[in-house]
Amino acid sequence: MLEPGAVSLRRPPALWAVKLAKYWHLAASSAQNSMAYRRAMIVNLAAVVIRLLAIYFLWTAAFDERSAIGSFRREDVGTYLVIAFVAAGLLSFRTEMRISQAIRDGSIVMDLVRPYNFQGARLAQTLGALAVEAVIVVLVALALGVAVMGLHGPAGAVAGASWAVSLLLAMLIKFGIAYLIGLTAFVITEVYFLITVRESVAAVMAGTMIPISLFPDQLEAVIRYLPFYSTVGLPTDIYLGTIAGADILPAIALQLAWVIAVWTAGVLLYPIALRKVTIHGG
Amino acid sequence: MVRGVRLYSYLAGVSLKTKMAYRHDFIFGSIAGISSDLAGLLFIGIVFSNLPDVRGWTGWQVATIFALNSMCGALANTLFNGIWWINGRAYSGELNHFLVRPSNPLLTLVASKTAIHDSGKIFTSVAIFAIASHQAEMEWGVPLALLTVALVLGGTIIWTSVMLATSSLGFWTITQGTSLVFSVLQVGDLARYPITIYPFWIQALISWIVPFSFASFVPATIILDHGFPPWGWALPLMVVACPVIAYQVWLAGLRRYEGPGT
Repeated sequence: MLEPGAVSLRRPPALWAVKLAKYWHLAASSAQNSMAYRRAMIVNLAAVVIRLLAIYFLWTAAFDERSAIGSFRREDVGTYLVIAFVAAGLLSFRTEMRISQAIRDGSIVMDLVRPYNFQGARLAQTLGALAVEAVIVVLVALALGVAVMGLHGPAGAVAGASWAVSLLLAMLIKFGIAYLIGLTAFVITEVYFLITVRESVAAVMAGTMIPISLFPDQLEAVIRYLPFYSTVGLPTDIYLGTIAGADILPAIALQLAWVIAVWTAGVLLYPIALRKVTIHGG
Repeated sequence: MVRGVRLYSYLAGVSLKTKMAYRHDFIFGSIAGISSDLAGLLFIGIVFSNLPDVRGWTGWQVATIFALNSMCGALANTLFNGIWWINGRAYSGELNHFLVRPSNPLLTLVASKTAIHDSGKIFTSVAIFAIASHQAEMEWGVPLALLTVALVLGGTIIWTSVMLATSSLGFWTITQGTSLVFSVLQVGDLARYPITIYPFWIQALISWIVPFSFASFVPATIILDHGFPPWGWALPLMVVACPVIAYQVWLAGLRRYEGPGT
């Protein structure tokens, strides 16, 4: 059992630059690590692409005899799914698993004795891996979008810029959720299952496969404020101009609120989770 | 054959016991399986709450296809989970243990792991199938019930064959993970909708290369008596040919296996 207090004693009196530099190195080494596992990453992404295609063709068939279903227009189907795919595909399963794996296999002990903030270090690593993922995901999305799915640009310059901001916030929310799930590894052994549950819930509620405007009204009213929608559907709706004008700021404020909420939850739960650590073996 | 079945049940029982030691895993695993099924069903439900049908298929008919797909996948995964780990065991050399045992290595390998977590999925998919086929206005009778059981068994054989063939490819690509099996099984997700919605190449892919449509779409057209395709007659042939081919891939891979050299 490690005393968290003992860790902070070893923290050197550091300048901001020094502090930032160590997180930068963490991010860089994590990016390199992701590069090494790019084949696994691509294989996993292939699975996501297959699911994306299935949904796309289902929608195409659904639009056989109509040009719009509710507010969902035929010419937006491909774009909606590709842009949602970018938001959903970034910060993948593997990145999510890594946080809990370190806890499971005991390598977390090395993290505990090192002079950095545990949550900040995980964020740095996640962002590093994210950078590599982004390249692959964007390339795949562009190829698929242009070749098969009729991808078109954002609804306007404002929509495009707001989308970029919204996507970044979406990633921070995703990290926050992934981190919270990772912390449960202190308590349960198979975090994999918990991630599966999160994925299933998110697959529907986040708007990855279907715009939430097609949900029954009461359900939509609730889902709109849950964190999952903020991770995928919300940036996508901004891109397409479904959320536009004066609605953009409150939407981004909601995302910001979720970023703060999940981060704070992580800060509060970490010491509680840490008390559960028993690293087996000598 | 009888000895094989007895050996399988004994070994599977042993590995089941080791799994039961981690009760939380079982509970979480069941919830995970159930939640992924419910999410898929919810998606179909929401799509069809906005539409009467897609290319002549109603929501309940699609849910029937979905349930059959999930059922066969879950049965194959639960009963023959050991197949998933061929790759990793060839990598670590653990496969040697199975080769020196006085029985068919594939049999002991297959029984060495059980994924009881997918058993939750079996129950949900059976429930979805019952509700969906009822809503799709099926006339149940003994012959149809027997036919359905036979079709599900056939579908399970097809899923198991795909698992075995893909996992055996691991002898050529030796890696630690199960991501290849995982990804190929994801292709199975395509077979949860009527395959007539797809362009020709996808239909061909999921019917003749990784023939998941013979485990979901084709059986559903028979059970629902709706839109049976002429090539559907190949079903009995596929149920026999797939395991034979998969077993040959496994044998070819095994001949190639040299152990990790430790």
